[in-house]
Amino acid sequence: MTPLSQPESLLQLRAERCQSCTHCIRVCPTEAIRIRKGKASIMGHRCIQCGLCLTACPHGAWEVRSRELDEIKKVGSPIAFVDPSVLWQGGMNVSPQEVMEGFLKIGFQEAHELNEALIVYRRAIEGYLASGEIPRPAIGSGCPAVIQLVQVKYPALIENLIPLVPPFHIAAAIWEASSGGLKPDGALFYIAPCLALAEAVKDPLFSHPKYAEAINFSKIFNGLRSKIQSKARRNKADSPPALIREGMKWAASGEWIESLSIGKAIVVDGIHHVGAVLDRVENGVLEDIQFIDAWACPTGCFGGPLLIENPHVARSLFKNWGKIKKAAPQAKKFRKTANSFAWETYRLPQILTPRSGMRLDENMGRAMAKLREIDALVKKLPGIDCGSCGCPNCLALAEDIVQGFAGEGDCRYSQGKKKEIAGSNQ
Amino acid sequence: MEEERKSKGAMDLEFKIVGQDFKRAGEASFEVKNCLKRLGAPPKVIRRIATAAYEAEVNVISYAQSGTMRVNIEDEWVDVTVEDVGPGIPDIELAMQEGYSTAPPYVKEMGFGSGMGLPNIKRNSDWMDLRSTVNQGTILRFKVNLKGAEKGEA
Repeated sequence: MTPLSQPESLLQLRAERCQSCTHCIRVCPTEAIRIRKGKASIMGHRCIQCGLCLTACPHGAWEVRSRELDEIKKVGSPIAFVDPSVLWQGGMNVSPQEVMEGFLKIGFQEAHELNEALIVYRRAIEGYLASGEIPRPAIGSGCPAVIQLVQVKYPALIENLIPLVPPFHIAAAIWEASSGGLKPDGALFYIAPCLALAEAVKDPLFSHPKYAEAINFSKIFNGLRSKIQSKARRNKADSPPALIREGMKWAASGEWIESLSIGKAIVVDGIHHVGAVLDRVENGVLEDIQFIDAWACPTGCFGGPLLIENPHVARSLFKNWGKIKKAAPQAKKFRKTANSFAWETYRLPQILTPRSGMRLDENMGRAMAKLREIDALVKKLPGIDCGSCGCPNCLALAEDIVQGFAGEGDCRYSQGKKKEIAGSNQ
Repeated sequence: MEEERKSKGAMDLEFKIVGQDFKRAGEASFEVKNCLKRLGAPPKVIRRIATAAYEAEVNVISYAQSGTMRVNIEDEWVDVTVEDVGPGIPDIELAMQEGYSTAPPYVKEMGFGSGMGLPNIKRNSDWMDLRSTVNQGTILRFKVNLKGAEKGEA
């Protein structure tokens, strides 16, 4: 169980902005960040891509790599698949329809929502729950950060995850089948609200092969806003991008499962709350629950770290959106298209496996020896969890010392330092 | 001798449990789980121990005044002893029956005391022993094999 070799992460540190403060190391749910030599760095085998570090940094030092608008325009026929959460972003003050049209104005040939894909996805959830294949409670796998949290911290619950590809994959598959495919100079892009989805677009396990990459929404926000507000018109020949409420509900935790016949469900958002619920599932106390709709970000994807608007405001804007009825005829059409796609096709191509992020050693005997050393060492540290050493807390420092990642002199408190040196003399 | 035991790879953990402290229910079993994850125990074994340890912890909180959970990991066995000071169990055979519960309504309202705790511990462990003295307390001990074959979950 060695960590999978990870392709270069989209998450990058702008070192010049990092003040070596301790905000990010403290919020990380898997304690994957350390400050080393004055700069934050990530232990890839533990990172679950939740993006809390991005939100926590007061200096904007964490960044999700992505192409700028100018580069995207160089692609002959770029096609955007738009995460519904980006339709309600601050400063735009326009209808979601206009935002979708905005994507055409800034240079995309087509812009699509998740419409049919979400209909298929919802049917798949019902299908998996009816099949009896998944132990209860089944855990939704729509949020890739939640999947990784399970892999790293709750490996016993992997079998509870619904083995489905994400809706952006299904959307591309439906588009490909209905449109005749990609032009030679074309490329699909996913407009992503978060790191986890952007990474999922790169990952062949989750993604559709026609995707070129994801676009960090915050990087194109200004360009999009200025085009929407200017009077530029889209080409009249283009058909307007279609929207239905059903597809957009995906952005809000819990809402997209309303009206599904799946029995008792728990809706949980915010990665630390998700962890707390999974902890209870692990204890075997939530077995009467059929489905857990779990999202790393508060309120669901509206809380994505690459979005601009406050998630609660965005969610309310969506809920107050009044033009639902107009979309009804389209909804009918979408349902018809969706029904011609079998949800069984969208099973994850591989079984998910545990990640060894929390494991101290491959050998259990050695792990036990390390655990004992850590236990002895932590008692000698000051226990104030100040973070000055670059670790999120004293326990993490003790662990890093035992693993050889940290030095004996890293604790700044002389009392702790003295005792720690005495204790690690072995 | 202690040193020799430890050099062979033994590990002891101890947690205090306070009666009626429902707010902290799960903290001891959380620590046990965390430790097993650090050691790289197989996920299914972790889940079995978690379930059993959590039930045992909740039992102390629901019925007893106070208790201690001692966890010993040695020779591929996780050995858990939960000892409490409390009312004790008058009829152990009856207490082991599924659905039998003496929990007061307020405990049941919190989702505990469904009478599945002890049977659940038995189901999720490879060995279990329960002794009790009325008006003194209860000693529950169970073992789970870290590498052993999966015990039938049905």
